[in-house]
Amino acid sequence: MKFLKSLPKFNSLKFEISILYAFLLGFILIIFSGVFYIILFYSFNSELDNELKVKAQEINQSIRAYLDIQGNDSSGLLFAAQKTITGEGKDPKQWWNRINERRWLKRVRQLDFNGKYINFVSSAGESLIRSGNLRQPLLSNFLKEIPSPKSKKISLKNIAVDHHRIRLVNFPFIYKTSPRYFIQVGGLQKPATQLLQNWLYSIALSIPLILILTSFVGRLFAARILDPVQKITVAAQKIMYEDLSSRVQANYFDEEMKGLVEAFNDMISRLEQSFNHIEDFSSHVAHELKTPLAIIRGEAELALRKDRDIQEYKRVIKINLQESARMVKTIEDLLLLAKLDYQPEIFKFESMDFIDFFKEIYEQSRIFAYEKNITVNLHAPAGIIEINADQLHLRRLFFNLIDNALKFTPDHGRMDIVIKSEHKKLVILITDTGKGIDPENLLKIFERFFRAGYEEPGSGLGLNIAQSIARIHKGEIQVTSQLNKGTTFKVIFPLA
Amino acid sequence: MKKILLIEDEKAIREMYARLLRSVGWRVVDVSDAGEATNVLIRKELDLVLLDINIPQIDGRKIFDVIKEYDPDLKIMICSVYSIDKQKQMIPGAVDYYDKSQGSFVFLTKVHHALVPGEEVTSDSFDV
Repeated sequence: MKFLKSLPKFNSLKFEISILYAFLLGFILIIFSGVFYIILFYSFNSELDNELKVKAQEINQSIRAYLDIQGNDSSGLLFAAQKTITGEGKDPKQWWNRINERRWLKRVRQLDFNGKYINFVSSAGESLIRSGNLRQPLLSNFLKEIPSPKSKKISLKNIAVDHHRIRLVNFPFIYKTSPRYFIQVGGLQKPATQLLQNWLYSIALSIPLILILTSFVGRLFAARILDPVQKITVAAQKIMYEDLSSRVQANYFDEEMKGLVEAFNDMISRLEQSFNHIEDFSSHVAHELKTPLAIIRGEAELALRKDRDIQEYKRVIKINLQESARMVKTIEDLLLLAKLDYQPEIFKFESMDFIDFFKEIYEQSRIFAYEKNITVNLHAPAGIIEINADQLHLRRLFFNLIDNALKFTPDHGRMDIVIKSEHKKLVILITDTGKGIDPENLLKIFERFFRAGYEEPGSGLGLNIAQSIARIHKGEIQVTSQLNKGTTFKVIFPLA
Repeated sequence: MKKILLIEDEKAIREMYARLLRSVGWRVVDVSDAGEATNVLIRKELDLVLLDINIPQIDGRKIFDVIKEYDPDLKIMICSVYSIDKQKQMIPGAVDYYDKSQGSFVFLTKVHHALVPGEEVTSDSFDV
């Protein structure tokens, strides 16, 4: 079974690259050889055509030369054609000039029609003279291809006989007023095609070999390219969720791989941050919920230990109620925060008059303030300030701020609320005469679970919720404070 | 009479523990932050410090180090809502650790063991 493991995996990048590489090369090779084959085929053919035409022209000129000297009659014509084509025959006429005769015969002897099929035909289609190699059935094929008697053009034809492909030239022989003849010269296409075919076979055979070889080379290349991926994988496997602090070292990778490694490391960093955040968050949640539970349990255990007077029971029940209410508040705040973080669609924005909306909050806050005899003043401009907001959550924002202000303001203190619009912004200032916030805590008060002190009840989530709601409204809450003098929360919203 | 310093910022818990400890006969000084704790540490002879971890301004871990520097023999017991394992990890070297959700009698037992080592106590030993 071990050899199975060493086989390439068909879904691997390495396999894909090597196949792609071989496929591309194969495609190029096939196209290249195809084009090369066609070019060669045509150039071989045109060379054969030229050769045949030259031979026909030679025959033509040899016969004409004879006729020019010896005169034009049919016996002379036939002798000239026979002597030229076959090299045989007896001259029916006496030459009056021996020099001319010798010269003509010498020229005829020099002609070489080796391997060519030659036919001298009358325009009626009768073969008058032909070379010895031109026999049936090739002869009748030649005769079939004779053009119309009036044709003056050289024509080229292809003939196939017994698996042989023959190229044929029809050359019209015209001499003065004499009847028209045709010189047919045929040549085997075989040598050229044979050569091409051999070449094609060797190409067809070598392409698969080349492809197999290149796919191996491709695998080597792919392995070289993918080597860093393997290294990154090994490095990544070493990073465990228990310890997200280690990273893949980017130093010894190629430039492109560095990008991948950096992206990977960034992802781990973000994961680490999220893990830390979750850990931190759940630790805070546990703390916030276990504290009231510890109180409830401790008080209940003691109360049940032995008989107590009714005032003691009342005290314990009151504490338990307070603490369970605190837990409910913490859980509600946590759920709201989860919604603010992950479900912004729960916000239902609508256009409303802020002054009118705030009147109700003001009335409510006066009732809250009454318990501690705190005076609440509201300074709002006359008229309408229109904003686009989610009423329910906006109310929550202001109650959290007002609740916070009242909590840290001593009895008989004061809370001033100012509403104004400036620079296309709606600004609400809530100022109390409380104990103020330590400057070093000023930046921390909007953090989740931050509590300046545990003397006052609270979950440490109220201001964080208020800030989240402000941000969803594209606004912001700022804070300024002076120790023992008071704190001002400034809520800013953009005006439409 | 043994004297205990209780450093706990959560008012309801602080009051409950102080009441509990006093009812079994220990003397208790209860404070809510590091500043108050320092004053008590300087002025009073103490037998045990009960220390919360989450305290505003100065972290319980820092207070622990300060107390150990001031008096290495002073016993300190950590009382927190964190699990005991986590408490040991955060502040090693305390005489004991108490998880606030364990209930009052575990609390009293642990305090008793810290103050009077070797003496067997059960939850019935405490008349509260």
